[in-house]
Amino acid sequence: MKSRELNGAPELSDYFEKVSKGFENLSELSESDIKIATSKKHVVFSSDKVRLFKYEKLEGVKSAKRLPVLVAYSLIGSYKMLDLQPDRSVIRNMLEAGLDVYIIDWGKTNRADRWLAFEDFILGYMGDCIEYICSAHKIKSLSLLGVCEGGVFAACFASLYPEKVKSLALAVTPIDFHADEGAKLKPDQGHLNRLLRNFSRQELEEMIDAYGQLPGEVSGFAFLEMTLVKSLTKYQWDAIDSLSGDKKQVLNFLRMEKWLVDRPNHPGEAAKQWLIDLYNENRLAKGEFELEGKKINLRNLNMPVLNIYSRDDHIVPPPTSQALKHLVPKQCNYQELELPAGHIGAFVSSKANRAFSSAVFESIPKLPAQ
Amino acid sequence: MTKGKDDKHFENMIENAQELYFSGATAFSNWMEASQKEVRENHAFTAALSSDLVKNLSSMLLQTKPIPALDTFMGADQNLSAFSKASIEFSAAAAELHALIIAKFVESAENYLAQGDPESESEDRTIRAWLSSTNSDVLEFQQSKAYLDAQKKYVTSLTQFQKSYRALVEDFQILNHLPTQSEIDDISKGLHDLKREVRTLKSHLSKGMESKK
Repeated sequence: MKSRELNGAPELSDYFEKVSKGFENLSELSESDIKIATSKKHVVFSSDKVRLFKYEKLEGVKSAKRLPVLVAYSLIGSYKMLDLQPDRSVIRNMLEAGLDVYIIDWGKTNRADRWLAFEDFILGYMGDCIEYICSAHKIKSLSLLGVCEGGVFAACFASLYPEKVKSLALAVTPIDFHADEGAKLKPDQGHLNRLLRNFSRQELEEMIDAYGQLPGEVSGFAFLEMTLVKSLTKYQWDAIDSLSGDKKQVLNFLRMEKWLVDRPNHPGEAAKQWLIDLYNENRLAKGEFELEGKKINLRNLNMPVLNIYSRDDHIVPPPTSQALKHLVPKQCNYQELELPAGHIGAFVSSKANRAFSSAVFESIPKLPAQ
Repeated sequence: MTKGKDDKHFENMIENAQELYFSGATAFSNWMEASQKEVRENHAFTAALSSDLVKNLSSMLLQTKPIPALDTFMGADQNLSAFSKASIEFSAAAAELHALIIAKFVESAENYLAQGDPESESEDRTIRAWLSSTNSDVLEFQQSKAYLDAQKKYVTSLTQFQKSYRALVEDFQILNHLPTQSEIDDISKGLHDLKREVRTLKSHLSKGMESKK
């Protein structure tokens, strides 16, 4: 028995060397070393917990003389993903291209915000932000970029007020939440869609009411559960490799972890609309989704639409995004971009985020002549 | 690298490592299967026993059919009973889901070993190949009705657990003249509705001003 243990020794020794290196790396780093979302920005408008940031122009970069772009991220994660680190930042890419970039921070909601619904986020906060930007730039319409749930917000706003949105870009945005059914998917795709369809409206309502919101920890757990084995090994077997590399690699890993930990709560009423009206009952694609009694009709999207989806997205299966092309009007200048990445890889993979930013830049119209 | 003696030594090392790994994995798999069965049986037994105990306790306190006039505990005992029941049911649903997952992991490991020609260049590669195979099996299993139903049972029983716990805590708060979550929710709802009304009024006002210009 002893000789067997000794025969495995070289590999075991490598392993412990990595463990030791990992501890050494961690001991040399502190929380302040792990910086994310470092592009300079300042608050230009706020309402309740929502803040509208304007990114500061980069020194020496000339204005692209295009319409300002407003970015709306999802309520499920933090907008900081779009500016994770300088060499993997969609925001920085857009600033380098000379664009005026605004982003909405939905804030840290808690139980006091449980009654906030899509109406408040889309017609209220987003509408107010758009009004502020248009007024500041003396324009009647702007470019809107929505990411994931933020993409649904953007699509809903644009279909209700097409005159205020000159161009619309959606990224990893589900539109037809049942389009995964019967589609050819990868084994890790469509789990969330299947899972939520298995519940009744009442069961989902009771679940959200029990918490008064969708707590960040619960949605974080749901994401881990989608890929059980990978989630289990990420912090065990694979963690040694992630932490024992050079400092740059370790920081890359930790920046992502910092973003993952910062998972906001999702207000209760909005969570009901997201999980029940959309995921469970697919009301948006059916043309039955309503905001303050007004039906969302995607045929109103008469502006140019850029739809970006990720081929390997395990959270938003590509067919659920691609379905938009059948729902926009025929005269719509509709374009698609498929990225060879996952849901988050679209923004942090250096290759994918360049392609992403470049396509978004091209989709933004030039400023009207004064 | 010198050949001959070193190669033989390397081959022996790999063989020994494989043997060690396979015997360990088989032992682990057998142990998991046995434990899983035991856990299931024990849980079912404990759940039934605990449920009976709670029922008996309630009957002793308040008869089987509670009479409102004699409700000296102001409903707290009923909430306690509901909480105990929800707690047991949640625990059982969690065990059921975990048992399903563990069974799949074990089955997957057995299938991997039965393939007969696993990656053998290094322990690291062997483990990675095994994990990759397990990942595929588990992802496929997660699409099954059995898994989705177990997951649903877990979530709905957790919901009942949360609801019954809240009812229990609110009893305590009411008895001690403290504000409850339900009351705070009522206030925040009123405030939210008021904010919406203000927004609508502002919007009407602004449209009215614009039309006058």
